[in-house]
Amino acid sequence: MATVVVVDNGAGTVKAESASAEGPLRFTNAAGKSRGESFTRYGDFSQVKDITGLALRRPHERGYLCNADLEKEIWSFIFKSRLRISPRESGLLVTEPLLNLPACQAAAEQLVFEDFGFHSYYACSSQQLAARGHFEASRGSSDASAADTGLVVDLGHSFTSAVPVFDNRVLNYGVRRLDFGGKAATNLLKEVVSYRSLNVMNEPYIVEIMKEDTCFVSQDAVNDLRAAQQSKKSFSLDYVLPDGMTVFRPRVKTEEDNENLTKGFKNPRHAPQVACLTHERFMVPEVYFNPSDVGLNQAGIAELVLQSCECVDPILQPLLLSNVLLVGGGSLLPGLVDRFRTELRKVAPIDCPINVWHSPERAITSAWFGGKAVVDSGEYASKAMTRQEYQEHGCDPTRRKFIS
Amino acid sequence: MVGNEVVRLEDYLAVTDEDADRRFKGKSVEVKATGGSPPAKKKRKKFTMKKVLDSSSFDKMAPGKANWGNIEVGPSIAPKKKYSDISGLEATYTDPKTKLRYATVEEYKQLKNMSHEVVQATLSLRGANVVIR
Repeated sequence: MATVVVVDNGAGTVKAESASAEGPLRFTNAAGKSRGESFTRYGDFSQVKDITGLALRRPHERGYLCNADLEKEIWSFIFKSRLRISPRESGLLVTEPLLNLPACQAAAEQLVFEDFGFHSYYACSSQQLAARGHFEASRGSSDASAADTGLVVDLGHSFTSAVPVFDNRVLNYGVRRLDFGGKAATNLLKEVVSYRSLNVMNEPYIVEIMKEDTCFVSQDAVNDLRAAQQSKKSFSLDYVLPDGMTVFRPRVKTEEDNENLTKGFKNPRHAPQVACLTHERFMVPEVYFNPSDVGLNQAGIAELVLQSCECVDPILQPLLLSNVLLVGGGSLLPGLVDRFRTELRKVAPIDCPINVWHSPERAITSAWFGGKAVVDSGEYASKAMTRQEYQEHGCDPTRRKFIS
Repeated sequence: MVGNEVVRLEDYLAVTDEDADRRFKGKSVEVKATGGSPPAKKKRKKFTMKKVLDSSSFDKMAPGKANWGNIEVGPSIAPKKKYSDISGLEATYTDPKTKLRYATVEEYKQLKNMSHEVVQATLSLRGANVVIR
């Protein structure tokens, strides 16, 4: 059997590796050129020396693949120099957003068959694969779900979505989307920090790292806000920003930094800049629960789950609520899972037991493991469209195979 | 070398993938077909999400079927919080005469001194002003 490459092509990060591997490699789904470097980097920015002013170009817009030319560059880098696979001889399982738009589907197929020339191709939504990955991982253990049914809450880069899955199939009519995701959170933090302490409007990459390092979800936001108001120390945190000379990566200010940071600078104003963060650390992620805080007229993630449940058959509702699976980068915010549990308990019907599954190691890679399971079980071979089929019939008729 | 045979440098030098990457860094890496003639390339259409969404006309699609336009989550059904029209703090009180919301005694004193126009202008900020037709 030919190798099949599984690519979870998220708007934020790409998780890719051939299906025979133990786990995926992670890449940023973006291209960027840093200061002082004469070439563009794709997918991996860990080696960039000076990350100040690094702006990333992303091929996705609002979660959908729009710029196929850019995606081609990023994929070429991943396939050629990291995975070292030859597209002509391999198949490709790639994730696409739910209810993908025809224009984006066509662009993806053209990319796969005409630019790379893959042998075969199968597209599937990442939430469906994430559920599959979870079911596979928990099979045999005590928390195994009956009938492979559950509700996936995906806190992604572009939006948050609740997706009911029944018997490994997505119930399309129950899907609900909240237009707030990791990217919006980063932008919000960027605005707030720029307003309160330092102008970081041109540093999206640094603010993203800042968000991952410092943000958390409060269990009781109103009380925590009051505490932050009364004593400045309770939530305040100093964050050192890179200057490209002495500090290269942003980090939380440590005891050592208090002494060393200004050392060697005659004028302390030339030392690396430090941003002071206080209640924005938990008020930014709070938008997941109260989107009206930023003027978004949509319900928070707990009600998102409920609204999604209300669309499916009432018999399924208890089953879905007892198998809620949290995935996506946003679910890694400290405290989010506990808060989500309490919020969901508040709004869910009282006679429904609620279980929220979340594993920090699998939150991002779950969809990739689901894809691996699809390939291992032989399902890929029966569903994938081949290059010959694509060249003979075009994309629309061949796509029907995916649904069967 | 005889005639106009094309000699690839890579055939003579042991060029690994890494070397090739270093050399062609920043340039697009084309993955070419190895056998047969490559299929005629269609010109790739450039598009932005806004254009796609504008031209999709979701309102004309079947109402029962899920599509990008109708999976948006609805507004919260929790009762809306009331905020003071003067300070923006959470308001516990409403002035029965002007219908302005306020949080503290000081704010009440302030709104007692407001003229009718100012009251209406303040109310209009949240769309609660009285419109005379």
